[in-house]
Amino acid sequence: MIIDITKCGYQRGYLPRQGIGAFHAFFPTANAAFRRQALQAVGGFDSRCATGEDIDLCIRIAQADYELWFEPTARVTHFHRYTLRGLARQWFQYGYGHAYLFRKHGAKHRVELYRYDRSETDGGPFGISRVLSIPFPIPGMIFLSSYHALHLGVIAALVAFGAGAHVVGWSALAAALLFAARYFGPRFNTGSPRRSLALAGIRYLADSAYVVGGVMGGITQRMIFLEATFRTRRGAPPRARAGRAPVEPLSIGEASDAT
Amino acid sequence: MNRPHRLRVSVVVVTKDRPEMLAGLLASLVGQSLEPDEVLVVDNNSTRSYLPVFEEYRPRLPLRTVVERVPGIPAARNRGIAEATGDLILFIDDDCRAEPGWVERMVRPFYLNPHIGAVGGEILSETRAGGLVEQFCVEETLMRMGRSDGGAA
Repeated sequence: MIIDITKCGYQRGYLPRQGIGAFHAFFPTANAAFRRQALQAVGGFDSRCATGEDIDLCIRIAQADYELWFEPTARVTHFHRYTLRGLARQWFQYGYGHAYLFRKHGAKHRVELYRYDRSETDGGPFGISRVLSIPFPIPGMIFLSSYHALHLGVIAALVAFGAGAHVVGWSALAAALLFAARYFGPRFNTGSPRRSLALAGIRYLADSAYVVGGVMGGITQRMIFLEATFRTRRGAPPRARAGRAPVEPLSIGEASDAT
Repeated sequence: MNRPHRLRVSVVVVTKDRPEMLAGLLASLVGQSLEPDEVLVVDNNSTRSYLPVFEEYRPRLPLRTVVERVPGIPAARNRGIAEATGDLILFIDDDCRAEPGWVERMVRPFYLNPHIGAVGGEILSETRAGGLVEQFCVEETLMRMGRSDGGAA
């Protein structure tokens, strides 16, 4: 998942300019400002982006050696209404568009495996680690989560049963169930089981839309592309820590005489 | 601090076929603590008329309007960049409402450091986590609830 800094706990100030692959801090264009020279230096938005043109722009501005500053006191209110269909369509399009971003930023003839960090404090920014990178004829980005593992288990079980390998089939099925418990379990609130089930269903739908969108986008980009899914930790939203603290405190009096 | 010149501010908004949404945004840009030098509306080839909205806000905002016939957000935003006259270009969506200090707070950091190329602000959702889907979006922090009245600066 490419993480929008307005949703991941960043503090006011400079943001890290290093990404991991195309995992990078960015500002959604619903509330973002740019210096004209920076836009001209990078040539504006890339019209080949189906979605994520804001991510792409921030990556290139950071690479052009400009700083990104997060100013949470500059607030806008968004009036979008989310429906199930709208959510699924949106996440499908995000997945589809991200494949191009990965192709464009840092794709090599390697397959790279990513996963969420096991704790809030290890790993790089965005709470994401690259765990493996192996040479391959086409680029690949594979995010490993319990969502993917559960489906791999089901597929492996189906193949094994089809081939008559029942012991392998049952083992794969058991593994799939284990990963299903890891995917659905941590969020389950026994106090309100029906609500938990409904929310789990919505999460499964959004994750699936994102992953399928990513796979299809990956096919058009001739790469293997398996998107990240929502984190499964109990109650924990995707978080990222600023790689660099704000270094220049800005007082209101200092700035208001600027205009 | 050494300030060679004042930075010109353009607010650029892309819109398509929802003049009533745009009207709400423009209303939130009237009376900002720092008035932008221009508000540039890029109409991405709408079939609905924006004329009544433009007529209403032209006396109240430094409004400019252009039509971009190439569909798609990136093309429309690039047209906005090409047409805008500002040193700083602030993007906001037509389904958003700016708080009264928004322009000033977005502009301020650029004076702080000439190496700052981009500034991003906070995006809140109108307070109304009604349905389960919206509750899901709140729990996953896809949206953060905020004030429906646009809030005080």
